[in-house]
Amino acid sequence: MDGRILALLVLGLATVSMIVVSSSASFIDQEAEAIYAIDNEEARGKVVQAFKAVADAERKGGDVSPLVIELNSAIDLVREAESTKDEDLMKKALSRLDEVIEKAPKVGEQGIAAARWRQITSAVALGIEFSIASIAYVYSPQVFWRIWIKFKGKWNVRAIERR
Amino acid sequence: MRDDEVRAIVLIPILVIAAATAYQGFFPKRTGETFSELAILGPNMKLADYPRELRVNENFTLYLYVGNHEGEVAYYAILVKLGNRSSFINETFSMDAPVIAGYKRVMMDNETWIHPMNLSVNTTGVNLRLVFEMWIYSDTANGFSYHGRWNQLWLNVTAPKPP
Repeated sequence: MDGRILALLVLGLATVSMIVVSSSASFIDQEAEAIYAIDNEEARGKVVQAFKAVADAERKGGDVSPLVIELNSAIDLVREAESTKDEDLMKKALSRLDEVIEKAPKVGEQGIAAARWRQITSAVALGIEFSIASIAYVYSPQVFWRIWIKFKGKWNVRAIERR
Repeated sequence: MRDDEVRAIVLIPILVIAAATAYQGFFPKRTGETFSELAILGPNMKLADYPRELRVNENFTLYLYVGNHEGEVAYYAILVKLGNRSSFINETFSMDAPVIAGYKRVMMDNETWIHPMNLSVNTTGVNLRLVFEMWIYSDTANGFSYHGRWNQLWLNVTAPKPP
Protein backbone atom coordinates (compact mmCIF):
# COMPACT_ATOMS: atom_id res chain seq x y z
CA MET A 1 0.00 0.00 0.00
CA ASP A 2 1.18 3.47 -0.80
CA GLY A 3 2.61 5.22 2.27
CA ARG A 4 0.57 8.33 1.59
CA ILE A 5 -2.71 6.41 1.44
CA LEU A 6 -1.80 4.61 4.67
CA ALA A 7 -1.12 7.94 6.39
CA LEU A 8 -4.47 9.29 5.14
CA LEU A 9 -6.24 6.17 6.42
CA VAL A 10 -4.64 6.53 9.87
CA LEU A 11 -5.59 10.23 9.96
CA GLY A 12 -9.17 9.40 8.94
CA LEU A 13 -9.47 6.70 11.60
CA ALA A 14 -8.09 9.04 14.26
CA THR A 15 -10.60 11.74 13.27
CA VAL A 16 -13.53 9.30 13.36
CA SER A 17 -12.50 7.91 16.76
CA MET A 18 -12.12 11.45 18.14
CA ILE A 19 -15.63 12.31 16.93
CA VAL A 20 -17.04 9.11 18.49
CA VAL A 21 -15.30 9.73 21.83
CA SER A 22 -16.35 13.40 22.00
CA SER A 23 -19.96 12.60 21.10
CA SER A 24 -20.14 9.84 23.72
CA ALA A 25 -18.69 12.24 26.32
CA SER A 26 -21.32 14.85 25.55
CA PHE A 27 -23.96 12.11 25.77
CA ILE A 28 -22.66 11.25 29.24
CA ASP A 29 -22.84 14.90 30.29
CA GLN A 30 -26.46 15.12 29.17
CA GLU A 31 -27.23 11.87 30.93
CA ALA A 32 -25.87 13.15 34.23
CA GLU A 33 -27.68 16.45 33.87
CA ALA A 34 -30.92 14.63 33.12
CA ILE A 35 -30.61 12.10 35.90
CA TYR A 36 -29.27 14.21 38.64
CA ALA A 37 -30.37 17.75 38.02
CA ILE A 38 -32.16 20.15 40.28
CA ASP A 39 -35.71 20.15 38.89
CA ASN A 40 -36.40 23.84 39.49
CA GLU A 41 -34.90 25.54 36.44
CA GLU A 42 -34.40 28.89 38.17
CA ALA A 43 -32.64 27.25 41.13
CA ARG A 44 -30.46 25.12 38.84
CA GLY A 45 -29.38 28.18 36.86
CA LYS A 46 -28.72 30.19 40.00
CA VAL A 47 -26.65 27.43 41.62
CA VAL A 48 -24.41 27.28 38.55
CA GLN A 49 -24.26 31.07 38.35
CA ALA A 50 -23.33 31.27 42.05
CA PHE A 51 -20.66 28.59 41.66
CA LYS A 52 -19.15 30.42 38.68
CA ALA A 53 -19.16 33.69 40.64
CA VAL A 54 -17.45 32.00 43.61
CA ALA A 55 -14.85 30.34 41.35
CA ASP A 56 -14.15 33.71 39.71
CA ALA A 57 -13.75 35.40 43.10
CA GLU A 58 -11.33 32.67 44.14
CA ARG A 59 -9.27 33.11 40.96
CA LYS A 60 -8.96 36.79 41.87
CA GLY A 61 -7.53 35.74 45.24
CA GLY A 62 -10.56 36.34 47.44
CA ASP A 63 -11.32 34.30 50.55
CA VAL A 64 -14.38 32.42 49.35
CA SER A 65 -14.81 30.04 52.29
CA PRO A 66 -17.88 31.88 53.74
CA LEU A 67 -19.43 31.97 50.25
CA VAL A 68 -18.86 28.23 49.77
CA ILE A 69 -20.57 27.51 53.10
CA GLU A 70 -23.50 29.71 52.07
CA LEU A 71 -23.69 28.12 48.63
CA ASN A 72 -23.73 24.60 50.06
CA SER A 73 -26.46 25.52 52.52
CA ALA A 74 -28.46 26.97 49.60
CA ILE A 75 -27.99 23.75 47.59
CA ASP A 76 -29.19 21.72 50.60
CA LEU A 77 -32.19 24.02 50.94
CA VAL A 78 -33.05 23.61 47.24
CA ARG A 79 -32.98 19.83 47.59
CA GLU A 80 -35.07 19.95 50.75
CA ALA A 81 -37.54 22.34 49.11
CA GLU A 82 -37.84 20.03 46.10
CA SER A 83 -38.35 16.90 48.17
CA THR A 84 -40.96 18.56 50.42
CA LYS A 85 -42.38 20.76 47.61
CA ASP A 86 -42.13 23.71 50.00
CA GLU A 87 -42.42 26.97 48.05
CA ASP A 88 -41.29 29.16 50.96
CA LEU A 89 -38.17 27.06 51.43
CA MET A 90 -37.43 27.36 47.72
CA LYS A 91 -37.80 31.17 47.92
CA LYS A 92 -35.40 31.19 50.88
CA ALA A 93 -32.92 29.08 48.92
CA LEU A 94 -33.17 31.35 45.88
CA SER A 95 -32.61 34.47 47.97
CA ARG A 96 -29.57 32.83 49.57
CA LEU A 97 -28.22 32.04 46.10
CA ASP A 98 -28.84 35.68 45.10
CA GLU A 99 -26.82 36.78 48.12
CA VAL A 100 -23.90 34.58 47.07
CA ILE A 101 -24.07 35.93 43.50
CA GLU A 102 -24.16 39.49 44.86
CA LYS A 103 -21.33 39.05 47.38
CA ALA A 104 -18.91 37.12 45.16
CA PRO A 105 -17.67 40.06 43.00
CA LYS A 106 -16.93 42.08 46.18
CA VAL A 107 -14.93 39.17 47.59
CA GLY A 108 -13.04 39.01 44.27
CA GLU A 109 -12.25 42.73 44.48
CA GLN A 110 -11.03 42.25 48.05
CA GLY A 111 -8.77 39.49 46.74
CA ILE A 112 -7.33 41.76 44.06
CA ALA A 113 -6.77 44.52 46.64
CA ALA A 114 -5.11 42.05 49.03
CA ALA A 115 -2.84 40.77 46.24
CA ARG A 116 -1.89 44.34 45.31
CA TRP A 117 -1.14 45.17 48.95
CA ARG A 118 0.94 41.99 49.26
CA GLN A 119 2.93 43.02 46.18
CA ILE A 120 3.51 46.51 47.58
CA THR A 121 4.71 45.18 50.95
CA SER A 122 6.92 42.64 49.15
CA ALA A 123 8.40 45.39 46.98
CA VAL A 124 9.13 47.49 50.07
CA ALA A 125 10.64 44.48 51.84
CA LEU A 126 12.76 43.75 48.78
CA GLY A 127 13.94 47.38 48.71
CA ILE A 128 14.95 47.18 52.36
CA GLU A 129 16.73 43.87 51.79
CA PHE A 130 18.67 45.23 48.83
CA SER A 131 19.61 48.33 50.82
CA ILE A 132 20.91 46.09 53.60
CA ALA A 133 22.76 44.03 50.99
CA SER A 134 24.37 47.18 49.51
CA ILE A 135 25.43 48.44 52.93
CA ALA A 136 26.76 44.98 53.76
CA TYR A 137 28.70 44.91 50.48
CA VAL A 138 30.42 48.19 51.26
CA TYR A 139 30.96 47.91 55.02
CA SER A 140 31.03 44.20 55.84
CA PRO A 141 34.81 43.68 55.27
CA GLN A 142 35.59 46.75 57.39
CA VAL A 143 33.28 45.56 60.20
CA PHE A 144 34.58 42.01 59.95
CA TRP A 145 38.23 43.03 60.25
CA ARG A 146 37.42 45.41 63.11
CA ILE A 147 35.79 42.55 65.02
CA TRP A 148 38.65 40.28 64.11
CA ILE A 149 41.16 42.74 65.50
CA LYS A 150 39.06 43.28 68.63
CA PHE A 151 39.10 39.61 69.48
CA LYS A 152 42.44 38.50 68.11
CA GLY A 153 44.43 41.74 67.92
CA LYS A 154 46.32 41.00 71.13
CA TRP A 155 47.46 37.61 70.04
CA ASN A 156 51.15 37.09 69.75
CA VAL A 157 52.43 35.35 66.72
CA ARG A 158 55.37 33.12 67.33
CA ALA A 159 57.27 31.26 64.72
CA ILE A 160 57.49 27.53 65.39
CA GLU A 161 60.79 26.05 64.80
CA ARG A 162 60.79 23.51 62.04
CA ARG A 163 61.93 20.04 62.96
CA MET B 1 40.37 35.62 54.38
CA ARG B 2 39.96 38.22 51.69
CA ASP B 3 37.36 41.03 51.57
CA ASP B 4 35.40 39.33 48.76
CA GLU B 5 34.99 36.19 50.82
CA VAL B 6 33.66 38.22 53.75
CA ARG B 7 31.19 39.95 51.41
CA ALA B 8 30.00 36.61 49.98
CA ILE B 9 29.40 35.10 53.44
CA VAL B 10 27.31 38.13 54.48
CA LEU B 11 25.45 38.62 51.17
CA ILE B 12 24.39 35.02 50.39
CA PRO B 13 21.85 34.73 53.27
CA ILE B 14 20.49 38.21 52.51
CA LEU B 15 19.96 37.30 48.86
CA VAL B 16 18.28 34.00 49.78
CA ILE B 17 15.85 35.88 52.05
CA ALA B 18 15.24 38.45 49.28
CA ALA B 19 14.45 35.68 46.77
CA ALA B 20 12.01 34.06 49.22
CA THR B 21 10.33 37.44 49.82
CA ALA B 22 9.94 38.04 46.08
CA TYR B 23 8.54 34.55 45.48
CA GLN B 24 6.02 34.82 48.31
CA GLY B 25 4.94 38.30 47.31
CA PHE B 26 4.61 37.93 43.58
CA PHE B 27 3.85 34.21 43.09
CA PRO B 28 1.83 33.33 46.20
CA LYS B 29 -0.28 30.47 44.79
CA ARG B 30 1.51 27.21 44.19
CA THR B 31 -0.27 24.17 42.87
CA GLY B 32 1.46 20.86 42.40
CA GLU B 33 -0.31 17.79 41.13
CA THR B 34 -4.07 18.27 41.11
CA PHE B 35 -6.47 15.43 41.92
CA SER B 36 -9.72 14.54 43.65
CA GLU B 37 -10.35 11.82 46.21
CA LEU B 38 -13.35 9.54 46.41
CA ALA B 39 -13.76 6.83 49.00
CA ILE B 40 -16.61 4.93 50.57
CA LEU B 41 -16.46 4.24 54.29
CA GLY B 42 -18.41 1.53 56.06
CA PRO B 43 -21.16 2.12 58.65
CA ASN B 44 -18.53 2.72 61.34
CA MET B 45 -16.77 5.36 59.22
CA LYS B 46 -13.88 2.99 58.56
CA LEU B 47 -12.63 1.22 55.46
CA ALA B 48 -14.24 -1.95 56.76
CA ASP B 49 -17.53 -3.63 57.71
CA TYR B 50 -19.16 -3.04 54.33
CA PRO B 51 -22.50 -4.75 53.86
CA ARG B 52 -22.44 -7.79 51.58
CA GLU B 53 -25.77 -9.51 52.12
CA LEU B 54 -28.92 -7.40 52.12
CA ARG B 55 -32.67 -7.73 51.88
CA VAL B 56 -34.73 -5.78 49.36
CA ASN B 57 -35.44 -2.24 50.65
CA GLU B 58 -33.29 -2.83 53.74
CA ASN B 59 -31.80 0.47 54.82
CA PHE B 60 -28.06 0.67 55.33
CA THR B 61 -25.67 3.54 55.91
CA LEU B 62 -22.35 4.19 54.25
CA TYR B 63 -20.18 7.29 54.41
CA LEU B 64 -19.02 9.21 51.43
CA TYR B 65 -15.52 10.69 51.55
CA VAL B 66 -14.60 13.34 48.97
CA GLY B 67 -11.37 15.32 48.88
CA ASN B 68 -10.68 18.30 46.65
CA HIS B 69 -7.03 18.83 45.71
CA GLU B 70 -7.74 20.43 42.34
CA GLY B 71 -6.04 23.67 43.31
CA GLU B 72 -9.34 25.56 43.11
CA VAL B 73 -12.93 25.47 44.29
CA ALA B 74 -14.84 22.60 42.65
CA TYR B 75 -18.48 21.56 42.34
CA TYR B 76 -18.87 17.79 42.72
CA ALA B 77 -21.74 15.44 42.09
CA ILE B 78 -21.52 11.87 43.38
CA LEU B 79 -23.89 9.46 41.67
CA VAL B 80 -24.77 6.13 43.21
CA LYS B 81 -25.71 3.59 40.54
CA LEU B 82 -26.89 0.02 40.72
CA GLY B 83 -25.36 -2.26 38.12
CA ASN B 84 -24.48 -5.90 37.84
CA ARG B 85 -21.54 -8.09 36.95
CA SER B 86 -21.75 -7.24 33.24
CA SER B 87 -22.05 -3.45 33.71
CA PHE B 88 -19.04 -1.65 32.32
CA ILE B 89 -17.19 1.26 33.90
CA ASN B 90 -13.66 2.60 33.65
CA GLU B 91 -11.84 5.90 34.09
CA THR B 92 -13.19 7.26 30.80
CA PHE B 93 -16.74 5.96 30.66
CA SER B 94 -19.28 6.08 33.45
CA MET B 95 -21.60 3.16 34.05
CA ASP B 96 -24.82 2.93 32.09
CA ALA B 97 -27.08 1.96 34.99
CA PRO B 98 -29.94 3.46 37.01
CA VAL B 99 -29.04 6.15 39.54
CA ILE B 100 -30.40 5.39 43.00
CA ALA B 101 -28.98 8.42 44.82
CA GLY B 102 -26.96 11.54 44.22
CA TYR B 103 -25.07 14.09 46.31
CA LYS B 104 -23.81 17.52 45.33
CA ARG B 105 -21.27 19.68 47.08
CA VAL B 106 -19.14 22.73 46.35
CA MET B 107 -15.73 22.29 47.94
CA MET B 108 -12.76 24.52 48.62
CA ASP B 109 -9.29 23.46 47.59
CA ASN B 110 -7.81 21.00 50.13
CA GLU B 111 -11.21 20.48 51.73
CA THR B 112 -12.51 17.03 52.58
CA TRP B 113 -16.14 16.10 53.04
CA ILE B 114 -17.59 13.09 54.84
CA HIS B 115 -21.30 12.63 54.35
CA PRO B 116 -23.65 9.84 55.48
CA MET B 117 -25.56 8.05 52.74
CA ASN B 118 -28.73 6.23 53.71
CA LEU B 119 -29.28 3.75 50.94
CA SER B 120 -31.47 0.80 50.06
CA VAL B 121 -31.77 -1.50 47.07
CA ASN B 122 -35.19 -2.29 45.63
CA THR B 123 -34.35 -5.34 43.55
CA THR B 124 -33.02 -8.82 44.21
CA GLY B 125 -29.83 -10.09 42.65
CA VAL B 126 -26.52 -11.84 43.11
CA ASN B 127 -23.29 -9.91 42.64
CA LEU B 128 -24.99 -6.57 42.16
CA ARG B 129 -22.60 -3.66 41.93
CA LEU B 130 -23.29 -0.50 43.87
CA VAL B 131 -21.11 1.98 42.01
CA PHE B 132 -20.18 5.46 43.25
CA GLU B 133 -19.13 7.83 40.49
CA MET B 134 -17.53 11.23 40.84
CA TRP B 135 -18.71 13.95 38.47
CA ILE B 136 -17.38 17.48 38.43
CA TYR B 137 -18.80 20.71 37.07
CA SER B 138 -16.85 21.82 34.03
CA ASP B 139 -16.99 25.37 32.75
CA THR B 140 -16.01 24.28 29.25
CA ALA B 141 -18.67 21.57 29.08
CA ASN B 142 -21.11 23.94 30.81
CA GLY B 143 -22.34 21.02 32.91
CA PHE B 144 -21.21 18.04 34.94
CA SER B 145 -18.78 15.62 33.36
CA TYR B 146 -17.55 12.27 34.58
CA HIS B 147 -14.29 12.77 36.47
CA GLY B 148 -12.99 9.22 36.11
CA ARG B 149 -13.09 8.39 39.82
CA TRP B 150 -15.31 5.54 40.98
CA ASN B 151 -15.76 2.96 43.70
CA GLN B 152 -17.91 -0.09 44.00
CA LEU B 153 -19.47 -2.46 46.48
CA TRP B 154 -20.56 -6.02 45.61
CA LEU B 155 -23.94 -6.95 47.02
CA ASN B 156 -26.21 -9.97 47.20
CA VAL B 157 -29.78 -8.82 47.65
CA THR B 158 -32.44 -11.33 48.62
CA ALA B 159 -36.23 -11.05 48.90
CA PRO B 160 -37.59 -9.29 51.98
CA LYS B 161 -38.45 -11.34 55.03
CA PRO B 162 -42.09 -12.50 55.02
CA PRO B 163 -44.11 -10.67 57.68
